[in-house]
Amino acid sequence: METFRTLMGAAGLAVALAAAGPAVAEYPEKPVTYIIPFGPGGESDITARMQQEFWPKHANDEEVVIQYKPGGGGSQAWSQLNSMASDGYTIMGANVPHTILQPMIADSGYQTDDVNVVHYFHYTPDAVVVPKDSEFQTLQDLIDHAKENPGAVTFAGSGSNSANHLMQQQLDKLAGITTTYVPFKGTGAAVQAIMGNQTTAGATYSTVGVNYPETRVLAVAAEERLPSLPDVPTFQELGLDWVGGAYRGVAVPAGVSEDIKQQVSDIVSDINADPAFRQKMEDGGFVLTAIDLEKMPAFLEEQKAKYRGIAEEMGLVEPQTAGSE
Amino acid sequence: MPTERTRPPHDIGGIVCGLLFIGLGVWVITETAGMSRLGAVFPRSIAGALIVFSTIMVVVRLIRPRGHETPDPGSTPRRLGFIGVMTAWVLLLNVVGFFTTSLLCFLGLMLVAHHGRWTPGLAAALVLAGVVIVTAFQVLFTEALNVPLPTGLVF
Amino acid sequence: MDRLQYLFDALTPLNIALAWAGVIAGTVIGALPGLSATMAVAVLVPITFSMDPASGLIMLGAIYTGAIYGGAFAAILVNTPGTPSAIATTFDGFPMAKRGDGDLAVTLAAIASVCGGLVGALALLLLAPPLARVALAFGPVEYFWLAMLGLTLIAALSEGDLLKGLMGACFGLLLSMIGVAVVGGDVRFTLGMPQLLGGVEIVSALIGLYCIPVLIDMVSTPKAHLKVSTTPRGFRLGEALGLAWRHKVNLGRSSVIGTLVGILPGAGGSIAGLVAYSESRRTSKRSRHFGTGEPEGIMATESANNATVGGGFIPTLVLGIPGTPPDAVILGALLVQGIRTGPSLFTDQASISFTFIYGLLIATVLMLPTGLLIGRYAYKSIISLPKAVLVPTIAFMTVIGSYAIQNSAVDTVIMFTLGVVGWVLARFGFKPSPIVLGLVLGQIAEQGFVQGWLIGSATNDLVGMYFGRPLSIGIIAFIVLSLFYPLIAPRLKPRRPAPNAPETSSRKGAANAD
Repeated sequence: METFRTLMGAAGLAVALAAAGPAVAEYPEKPVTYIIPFGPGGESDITARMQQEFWPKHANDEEVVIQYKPGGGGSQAWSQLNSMASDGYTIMGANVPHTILQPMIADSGYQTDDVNVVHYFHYTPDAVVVPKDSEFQTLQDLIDHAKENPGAVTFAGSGSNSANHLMQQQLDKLAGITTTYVPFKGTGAAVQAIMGNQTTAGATYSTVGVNYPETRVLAVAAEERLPSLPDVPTFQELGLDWVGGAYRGVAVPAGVSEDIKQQVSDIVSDINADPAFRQKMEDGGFVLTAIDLEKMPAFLEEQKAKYRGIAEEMGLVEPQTAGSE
Repeated sequence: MPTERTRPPHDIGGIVCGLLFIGLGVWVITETAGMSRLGAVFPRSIAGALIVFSTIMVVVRLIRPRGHETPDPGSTPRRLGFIGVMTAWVLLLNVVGFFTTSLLCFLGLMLVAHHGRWTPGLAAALVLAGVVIVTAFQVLFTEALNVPLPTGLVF
Repeated sequence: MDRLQYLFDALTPLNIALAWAGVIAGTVIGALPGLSATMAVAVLVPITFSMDPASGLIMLGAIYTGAIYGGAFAAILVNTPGTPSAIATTFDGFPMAKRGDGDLAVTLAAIASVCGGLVGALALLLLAPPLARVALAFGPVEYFWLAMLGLTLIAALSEGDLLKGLMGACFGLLLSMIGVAVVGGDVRFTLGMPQLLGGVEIVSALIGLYCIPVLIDMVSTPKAHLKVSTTPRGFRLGEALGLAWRHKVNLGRSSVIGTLVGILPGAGGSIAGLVAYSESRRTSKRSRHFGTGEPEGIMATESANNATVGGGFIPTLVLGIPGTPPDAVILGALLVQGIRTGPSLFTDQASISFTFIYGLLIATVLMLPTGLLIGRYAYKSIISLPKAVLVPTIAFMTVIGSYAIQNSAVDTVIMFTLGVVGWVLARFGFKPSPIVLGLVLGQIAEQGFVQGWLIGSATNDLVGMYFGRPLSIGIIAFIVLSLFYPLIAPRLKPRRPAPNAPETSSRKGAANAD
């Protein structure tokens, strides 16, 4: 009964209890396996580890066990998701725009809709980052410099055709400039190049600015200023209409019952509502989101339309004629 | 093996490999035609280098025959047996299941690797050792190291 | 002086017990091919959540350093480097083991690893903030040249057939390009199979290329896998210490190379051992014997690769940029615990960082007794097990190990396929080491080259980009030296003819023999 009382303590779950009936108290009744589609140490891993610490408190006192299945920028894991056990005890991390862009650009072994995401719990907004001692104090300084020297401004980012690359392309388009994007293997390598003044700036994530004191963020692509970077303007404040970043969520294999899907989504919501978890995430520069099962279809439609448009502009895909996806 | 014929033996194996490498290089270069400039520059240069080195090697070997050390003697059937069992192992573990495949292939490799006489006592001891080793590793990986070994059709 | 206080904080019985447990677990894990330090560290991260941060870190660091050392066992006894950093250990370690000096090789590896580990950890303790600038000074072009420096080893590894060595290296370089390209984003050479999008995983390829040919040849004859000496010789510790003392310059130089190259995120771990080996071979009086079981080769690689542990922590702790994959896991654990890396880690949170560094030093020292005992046991089991048990057990480890790196059955298939290809090629004179070199260095070389080209074009100074940066010029000088030194060296100084006998004859009290 001790566990039951803990459960009742969690505010969000009390509502779910009322809605879903007694079945809720039964899931999970053993540890859940949480597969990260990347190697250990990245942001997907770090945020999952943060959830791991709070998981038992909100999930029947059961643990979550983290495993890694890296390869192909996540595609190895996502292409195998639906052949995994559908009893609800295997869940997997999922990322936007990765699961949208990968199948669009090449045969990656899965389709966007094969990944059944039940909750996108946070996102890291795109950000333009410069070394601490950079001559550029504002994004406008950088844009002015790029206008005078077309192509000379270099942006370090993680990978080609990635969220970082897309942001640099959007910036070029919206500000009417030409810059050079230099892809690196992972955000760590890109940050190394930014801090070492190898490139002019970085097209990367807001978390970089929060976690690396030797960098300075010029602008973030969030809807409003971030609590962890209160002095940094958003792109929109600067007149550039761009909101974007990497969303991270939790997906389940095909065949998992609607009931359990809902419960996984609820557990993630409850962890998101935990003040201690919120504090840790926000300190790390992450922005919590509440895109649960109910809001998922609309969110995905919006993101797919947005990224297809950008991919067409970049010439990555042929303009779509029939609405096949 | 081709290398053991006349006095200055031609390195026929090496020459065949060289021709195959030239083919590989040509294929790589044709593949890079559809790639972006960033993605194509390196493979194209390396494939070019491979073709150049391979051509030089083939020409030099044809003009000046030079064998290389003859492969060690040893049982070719056993070598092929090993390759056969391993092929089954790596292909079936995902289908049949890791534990079953590993146990069967483990015992199969014992058959291939044992050169002496077989006695019932030895066979029993080896089977026991196989079961213990495979089980121990299975438990170590799945329980202690959280590695999701494939379960497949059987286990 | 207050730094000494942290030494006493690290010396609590609990911390020493954790460090020792970590070293033991790490050494055993490292000794099994395919069981990586990354995996061991990742599995233990949740346990450290409930610990004091410094204690948790000490255990993670001890496992890491133990695993790097343990990799030497598999490299020496079954010719299988468990991590890219142990590749060069196989060059001389396995020949030594084959001729019956496996016990000496294992003991030498222990001594060299402790030396290297201490140098790396001391650099971390005393010089971390200034050394971290090295990582930042290294740009894409320097990475490219460093990979080229690693590739100069091809000449040494081709065993008299340079053309075949170069062809093998090109083949390895092409293998490294399979999958989605980091630069350009193209899908390359996957034959339309989504399973190949992730490319060839390096550690499973190493297991296949080195271990499968050994197994294929092991089953073909009833001869013992390793030659066994009839007289029991213990650890051969005195002999090993004598050798280590005589080659103290080599040990010191290799440890420094390991520390410096280890600082470079992404490349350090795999290249440090190769560069140290190549330098040791270039400067040795016995360079002709390298590759045939030369103790100096083992000492160079093993001291360098353990020095990369301390070296790799420098950018991890000072800059927050993980030097190696295990560093990335440890960095993640720190972030989860709410510890911010950066220069302030050494001031505001000095109690954690210095306690951890002292813990790493303690773990490195504990590695000597632990390593000697485990090494002795590993050597004994390898020479005493009958082939009917040894072959399937090693084969089983290649299968399970290559699977477990990324939890992927595709990697296991790639491992075995490359193993068979490598065996066939080796029969026709194409040795596996140049292929491996190409595979390991390919991505580093390509990314550095293309990134440098992009940045150079943007600034309209391509020549200056590749040839005008001081660090690049330094590395290019080393490349030229490595390539042409063998040609000019005989003319520079008349050299004494090197002794032909393998340098393993026991010399007691060799400490003052040189």
